[in-house]
Amino acid sequence: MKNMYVAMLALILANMLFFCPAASIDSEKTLNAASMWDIPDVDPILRGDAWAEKTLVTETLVTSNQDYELLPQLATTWRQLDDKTWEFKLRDDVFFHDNSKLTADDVKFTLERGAELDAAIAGYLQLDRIDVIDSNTIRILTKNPNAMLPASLHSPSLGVISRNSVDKDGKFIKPIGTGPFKFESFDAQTHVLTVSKNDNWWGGDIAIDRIITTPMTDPNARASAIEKGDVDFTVDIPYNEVERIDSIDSLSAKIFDTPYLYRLDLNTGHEPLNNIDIRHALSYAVNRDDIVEYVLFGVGSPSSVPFSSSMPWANNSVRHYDYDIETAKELLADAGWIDTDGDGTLDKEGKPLELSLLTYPTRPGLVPVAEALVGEFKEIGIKADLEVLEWGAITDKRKDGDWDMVLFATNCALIPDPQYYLQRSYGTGGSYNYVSYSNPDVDELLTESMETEDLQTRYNLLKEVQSITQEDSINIIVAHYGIAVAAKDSVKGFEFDPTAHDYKLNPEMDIEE
Amino acid sequence: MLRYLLKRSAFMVVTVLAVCAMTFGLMNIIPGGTAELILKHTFLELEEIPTDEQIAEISSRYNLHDPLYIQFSRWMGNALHGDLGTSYILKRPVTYLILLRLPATMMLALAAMSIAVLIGVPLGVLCALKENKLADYILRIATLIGVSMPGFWLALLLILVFSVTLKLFPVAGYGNISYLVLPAVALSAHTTAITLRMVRTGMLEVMNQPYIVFAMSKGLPTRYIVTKHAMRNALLPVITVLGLHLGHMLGGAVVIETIFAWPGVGSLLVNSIMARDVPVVQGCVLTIVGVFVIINLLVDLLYTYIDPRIKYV
Amino acid sequence: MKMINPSRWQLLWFGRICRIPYQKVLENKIVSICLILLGIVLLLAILAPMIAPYDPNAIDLKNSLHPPSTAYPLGTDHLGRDVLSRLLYGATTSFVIAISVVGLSLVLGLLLGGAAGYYGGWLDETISRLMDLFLSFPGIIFALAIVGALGSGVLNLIIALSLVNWASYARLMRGQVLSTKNNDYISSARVIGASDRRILCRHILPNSLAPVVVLATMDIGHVILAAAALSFLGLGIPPSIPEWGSMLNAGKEFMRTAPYLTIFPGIAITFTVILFSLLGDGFRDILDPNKEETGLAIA
Repeated sequence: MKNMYVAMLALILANMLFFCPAASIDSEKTLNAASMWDIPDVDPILRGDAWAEKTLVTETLVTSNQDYELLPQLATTWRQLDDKTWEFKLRDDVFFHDNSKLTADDVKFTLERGAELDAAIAGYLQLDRIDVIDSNTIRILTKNPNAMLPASLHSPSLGVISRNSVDKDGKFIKPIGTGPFKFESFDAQTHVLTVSKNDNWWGGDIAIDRIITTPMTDPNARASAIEKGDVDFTVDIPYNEVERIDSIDSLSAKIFDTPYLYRLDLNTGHEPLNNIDIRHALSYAVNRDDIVEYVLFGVGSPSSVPFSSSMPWANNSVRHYDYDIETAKELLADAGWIDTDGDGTLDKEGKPLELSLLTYPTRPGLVPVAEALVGEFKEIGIKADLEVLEWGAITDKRKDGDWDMVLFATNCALIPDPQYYLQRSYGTGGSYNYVSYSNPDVDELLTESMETEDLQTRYNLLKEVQSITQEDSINIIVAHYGIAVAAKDSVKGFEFDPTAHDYKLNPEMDIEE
Repeated sequence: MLRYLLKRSAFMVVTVLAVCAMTFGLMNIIPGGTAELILKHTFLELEEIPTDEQIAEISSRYNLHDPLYIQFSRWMGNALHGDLGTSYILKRPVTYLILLRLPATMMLALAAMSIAVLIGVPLGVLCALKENKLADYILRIATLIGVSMPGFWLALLLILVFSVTLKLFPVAGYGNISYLVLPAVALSAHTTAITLRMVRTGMLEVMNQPYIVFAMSKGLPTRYIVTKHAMRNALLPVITVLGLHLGHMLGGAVVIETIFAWPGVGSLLVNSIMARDVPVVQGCVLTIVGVFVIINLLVDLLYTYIDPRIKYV
Repeated sequence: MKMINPSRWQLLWFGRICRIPYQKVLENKIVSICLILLGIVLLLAILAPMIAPYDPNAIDLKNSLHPPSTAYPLGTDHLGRDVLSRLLYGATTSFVIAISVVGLSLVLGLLLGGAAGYYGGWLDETISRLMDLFLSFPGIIFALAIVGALGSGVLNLIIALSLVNWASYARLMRGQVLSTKNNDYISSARVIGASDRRILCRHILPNSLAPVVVLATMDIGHVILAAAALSFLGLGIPPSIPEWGSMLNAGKEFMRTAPYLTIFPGIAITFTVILFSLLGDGFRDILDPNKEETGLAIA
């Protein structure tokens, strides 16, 4: 018997031997952050935002500010030479973390590698070839006129890395970037990424010495972590916790607007959604204020248009189909939908007005908003059958046309250029255009905009697109996504960048004890 | 004995491969074509839709158009050489990914098992000795609750009480031993409860045996009787159950690993199923089932050691 | 050979049922209490449409997250739905799922296990290997894979969980058949020329009832827990259908601000599973006093 207990004790001791104690933190200023998405590997092409935005190891040629303006970063100026050629001039004073100088060759390497390994990047850039003119000048030739090219270079997957980041066989070694922080270590098991201060950063001095980013995919875990003090900074805590966390003395939680949208797609191929009045009625039926207040706990802003007024290209004079139950009911009645059998659902020629509503659970706000929409539609007599499926299953159903409404999240400013969203959602054959919407006026405007260089002219063309498509209402915007940033009060200087994928730190940040 | 081992091993291999075949079949019925889902994971945007060219390129790169049985035989051939393929999403060899995470899961399982044994056995004996007294009743009610509670609720309650409110342990993650405590306790609840009850039942049975009564009437101290005679016999069914549970723990820790962000094979499996990362799913299933089957064999062999009456042919 | 009159066969079965030691059941206090409590719970579940104060799916955003009050005895959830009504309807859903799963796996398991044990040979080998296969797959993962493959939904959940469960019943049945098939009275029956089906149904099956009942009873509780776990992993049933597991999962977001959203479904699940466990234990004491190895897969 004693033997058994000895054996068990040995077991426990063996357990303990597996562990190494967590590295102790000395008097350096270390920022512990918890990120929303996993960081799979050290290759910045795999999850570019972890490197360009969350740890500032790499930098893109072009950056943006809160007003969605494109600003120079590693590139100083850019101009279009002809309709398929863009020329970029680069900074002269930038050094990589291995002390080699940034040249146009490294930029060419980064862009070509990005286009080769990342299908989405290839689609944005549409590279024909890249010519290095001199060490600070680079020319990018595209296959088709691409007015969006400069904006595409804002993508964090295109954070510039040195050619020395890969070995002679092309295998990735470690990310050597130009940013205010340099890569220190990556734990293959826990995916914790540690970066430390780059003393040679071209942009000036940095206050923080080290950033340790731990991926925590569960929002509750992030909330508990910040509450307990395990991390100093995190984002996207559960919406109902924001107020509570903010009220804790040493913490603050602020809500910011993002260009993500809660978008309800309508299948215009199905009756009765092919009737524009029905689509308008659906939009009139949604009480966006209530949804944002009660379902999203204020994390978000009600909107019936995709672009918020803070975006310079937004057409602020389009018609809004905001909450108006009476008009909704009127439109339905005028179209012949009446509740003849008194069961609460409208019907016409014996068929009830029943629509399927699909959504997916990966983003926390989608399912509750969808559930709330079911209730809103019930008010005007439409029965919505909610199904929560994986995104893959929804894609399948879309292909088969087996859907009426889909609620999903989309970033209308993934590339800070309105062409990105409008082309994909309303252009013929666009990848977000699920109903084969094809309006020749819209297509003409979109093509013209892609071939124009002047930004203001383009914006005007695209504003017209917005007004046409808002009227056509092939989809309904419910609200803009909000994001809650929770941090200890000791973390200073954070400025929210709406073009970031979830969050982007900035070099001015500091930690005050 | 040797014949038994050989026969058993053969069956084991067949079982494991059959399970893998079944998994492979399942993964390919899953809606959302594999190619689309692979591409989806390379995009920054969850909802971006891949073009047909991109799908065609990925399909040819990973030979996704071949008939299923060919794809599976190819996988099996490679697996027998130790090559489990490369993850579509994480772009690393599957073997590497699993070996990276296997220690974490084993650690968790062993810790939970240790807790179950260290707490379940002595308390079970205690209950048996103090049958129908207050302590017995309290512990029996506690085990009943422990077995009947939904696992993740217990885990969440533990976090709420011990981590957030009392600030004794970290919320989630992987590091030193304090990160292990809550997940191990949550995982062990079920097994501890069952162990306690089985030990109690076994002990009660044994205590009524004539030879025990005889020993007691001889005047031998209770503790001596318990440890030297009773426990040996009572422990046999317990060992079976523990063996069974260790196997289930390896897979069933999935929920616990997810809540506590514990980087083990279970959470890798769940994420891979959701992501349709077929090679990783195959690899994880192979590992988990393989370990489970091996443990069963070990338990059966342990039987022969403990109870010499049992022999295998 | 005279054909057995069906009504006599029915009488024989009836006789078996009568032979269940009802006296002992009522004498065992725990079992009686459990049966009564379970009866109440079942009654509540069946009568839900009549006694639920509100429509469980009535969304009322302005009333969301109200703690328990006189108007809403158990509070409202994040969409303003009444927790008590959802709990009652949820009982129905949870029971329907659990009983369907147990029923399905029972039938499947008895058929396959019985055939394996009785006929032996390659049928036995094949089915035994199949059993080992399904038993060696940790349940949650298998269910995960199936629901992941087929998609979420009540029917798919039932199918997935049944496929996970049947093997324990099969193993049990096979064991029973193996141990009784060489009994004298079976041999006599065979000598007389009784058909295999008759032997199985009239003789072997009724004698195996006891451990099967024990297993099934405890299994219902386990299925409820498994369904809850699948809901947690996001593969349960659509959110509009009230079900205890998915209520627990939805409420976990609000554990700090509205703990009652998890406490009530959690208690409901725990309480029900406890009742089934105790009942199963009690049945085992009564019907199987030798404490035969019933092959319970307790996980």
